[in-house]
Amino acid sequence: MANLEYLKAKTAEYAVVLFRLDKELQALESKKVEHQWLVNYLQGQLKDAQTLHKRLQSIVKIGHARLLSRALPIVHDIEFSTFIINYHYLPALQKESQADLALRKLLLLSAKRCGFFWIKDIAVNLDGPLATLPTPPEAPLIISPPQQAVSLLEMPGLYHELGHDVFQKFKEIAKTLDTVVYSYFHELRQKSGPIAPNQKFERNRKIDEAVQYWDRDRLNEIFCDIFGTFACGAAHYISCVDMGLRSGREPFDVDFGDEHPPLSARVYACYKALTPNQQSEQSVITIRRAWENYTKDYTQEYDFKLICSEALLNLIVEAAISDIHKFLPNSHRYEVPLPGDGQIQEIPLDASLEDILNRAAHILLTCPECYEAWEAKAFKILGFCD
Amino acid sequence: MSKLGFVSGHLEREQQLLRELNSALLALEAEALGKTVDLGFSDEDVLSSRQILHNFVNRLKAALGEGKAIPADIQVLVYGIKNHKKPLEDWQQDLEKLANILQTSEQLRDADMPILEDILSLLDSQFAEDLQRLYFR
Repeated sequence: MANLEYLKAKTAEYAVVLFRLDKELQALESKKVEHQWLVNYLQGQLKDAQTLHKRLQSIVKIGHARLLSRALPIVHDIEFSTFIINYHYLPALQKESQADLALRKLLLLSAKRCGFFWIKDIAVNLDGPLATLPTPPEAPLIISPPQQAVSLLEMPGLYHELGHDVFQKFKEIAKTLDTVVYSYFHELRQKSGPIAPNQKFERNRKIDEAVQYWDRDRLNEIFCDIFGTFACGAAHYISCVDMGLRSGREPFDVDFGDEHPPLSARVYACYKALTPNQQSEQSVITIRRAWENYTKDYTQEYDFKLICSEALLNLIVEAAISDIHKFLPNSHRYEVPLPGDGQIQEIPLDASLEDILNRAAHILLTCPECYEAWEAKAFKILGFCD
Repeated sequence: MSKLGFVSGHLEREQQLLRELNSALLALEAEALGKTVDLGFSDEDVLSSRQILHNFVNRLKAALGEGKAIPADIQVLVYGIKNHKKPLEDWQQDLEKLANILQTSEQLRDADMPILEDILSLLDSQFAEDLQRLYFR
């Protein structure tokens, strides 16, 4: 239990923090018309924190030992609410640049094509490695590398980030994937045939470990790989392979300390999420060959074969795509065929971000010397330059 | 996604449950001390707090049963109880008694509080641990 003096200090501290946040959000309210929903939401969060603060003040005033036990959870609750505003949304909105706004506009259009009927706003902060803060899912904060103000490279990863918003919005998706994993390993357990008791014990222990491995965070990651490919097509698959190749990490390494599944499982899931037409595109064939060349020098250990078997990954891909259709009934799977070689470098004015990213990936792989000039042209069309 | 996204996702889910249960327990503690007005709780708040805790205790009891599906929002709590120094059977007995008391309109006695406080403490520890991961220090 926290002592009374500490709680008095925290109560005084929060009075200062909450007052300042209130003032800063009020200032944004008039300046950021396009973020009205988000600013209102943050003000609502702040109001909840102010109510909790009042309760904390009353507990401290009464000072009874039994009530003091309830104070620390309130302190933690206020900490989280203020952290999200103070450390992330507020700075992103206060320092929002023209490039942030340009990317926001593109992402809102992509989200619409992906069937995000719940989306009210997106805040973009071009100031770090790709990340999403999907709280609230109605207005996620997407953090992206600064280079995206001038380059398309890494942009397909944004569709993976949008996937996190879907996963956060529909808790049922985690349940579906949990059930797929549980049923798969349950069946595997029944299949073994005659087996010595000590071997059975060891095998069941490994299966238990495999079930535990596929926790919500890893299911979230693999879902987003599938979603990214569903929504952005071959460009997303190619960017996933690129991530694997440049990481230099062991593709079959099952790391229980990392929320991300092994690279090889992620690349496989992305590939399986492509349509047969996309799988036969030249750029996909080229990058797949590069991945196979890379992985052939590594060995698949027993853990990988058990935890990331192709049979399980196929079931996960199938269930994920089925849930995307179920929960996002208006989503468009990106399956626009690439134009012929003669037209690939032309950029129609109404091209979507997905169209441009797929052309970009294809040009980079098939005509790398043409890429730089083409990208500059594409960037203008996307609205990043004045 | 970075740790930020995962952790904030977890925290958002945990925050809802922790806030609701902590407020409900505070209301019943305030009732037992005759301090409801000072803490801004009405009679209806106390009544609904009792119902919230009763429903939660029943949900937890069910999740602790063998072979039962565990709702996602209390998975960590169930894991914490199953690995707690106090035997599972004792938890189950205490929860049974508590559910019966919460069903009546009797005020909670001092002896009834520790189990609720233990549950809140397990939930809050997990929340605080995740919160710490946000600050990376």
